[in-house]
Amino acid sequence: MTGTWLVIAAVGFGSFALRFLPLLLAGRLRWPDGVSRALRHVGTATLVYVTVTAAVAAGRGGWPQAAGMLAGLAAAGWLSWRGHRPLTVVAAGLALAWLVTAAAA
Amino acid sequence: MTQAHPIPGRSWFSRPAGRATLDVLPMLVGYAPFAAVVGTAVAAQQDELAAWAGTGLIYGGAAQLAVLGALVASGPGMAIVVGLVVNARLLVYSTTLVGPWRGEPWWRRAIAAAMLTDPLWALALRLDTELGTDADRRRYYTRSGATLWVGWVMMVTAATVAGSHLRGVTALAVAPPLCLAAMVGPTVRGRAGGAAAAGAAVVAALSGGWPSGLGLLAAVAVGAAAGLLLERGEGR
Repeated sequence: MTGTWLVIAAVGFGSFALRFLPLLLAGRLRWPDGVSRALRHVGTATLVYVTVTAAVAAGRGGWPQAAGMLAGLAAAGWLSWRGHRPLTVVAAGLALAWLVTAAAA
Repeated sequence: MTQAHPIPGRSWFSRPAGRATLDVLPMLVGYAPFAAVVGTAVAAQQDELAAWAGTGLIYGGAAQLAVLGALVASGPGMAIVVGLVVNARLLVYSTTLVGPWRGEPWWRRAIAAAMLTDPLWALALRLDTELGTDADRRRYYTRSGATLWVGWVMMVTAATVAGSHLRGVTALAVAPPLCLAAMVGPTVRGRAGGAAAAGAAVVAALSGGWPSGLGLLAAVAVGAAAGLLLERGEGR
């Protein structure tokens, strides 16, 4: 079994365990309030980290690309926070990113 | 959804299980760009089949992308840690869904668990006030969860097959972070959520030269601490 298969299997099984454990214990598992709140912030922090690192990588082609990425990301983040649908968020972010990149070139 | 209880004699689509598939189809359309991003990343892997298997096994686009990135940058051990950290929020989601499944056979709870993801969790929270019985909620959850799972795997698979062609479209290079940003917004609630997001963003911007997994762990620690500190300062 290659390394990739082992990693995928480990993360897959671990993710299933995270999903199944509370349902299996059916309410016998109770988190301290602080743990629940911390885990919610963990989810937010994780998604933000993955987003920002992806944006940094996408903006490495020079100033026009970086400017476009910043503008698109700011628009997408604001629309997402305001509760707009994912398709709207991505379409608006893409449009602004391309416009700013073209204008900055 | 427009009614809390099914009306006897109406069509199948007026019953909860029938509405479930129709309700989640717009969600699937919304996640198509993200599926394209994941599929392109899968197609770029050396072991494409193993990377693709994560689509159904890991069943989380952000986690799958993080694992594939960490596998290349930091090795298998850190990739496993990164994937589980990204999916740690599933523990909280699952804890809030216990109600309708209490008393069900363990295998039914296992199937429900396997389908759990962010949009399904958000949908399930609405069911508490919109559907009358636990049986209705279970049927709705199972049908919508199965539709989402099958739809997601199909979309990522299609994007994987088209991967080499999609990679050539340079204009789409900015799409991945935008797709991820679309998922971030709903998780940022209140000043504490904003503090968690800001802390993680600062660490992410500064940790460019760090091994992939270390930057993530630092961002998670700083973000969680910032959020908890702000909550404590607000007296929660």
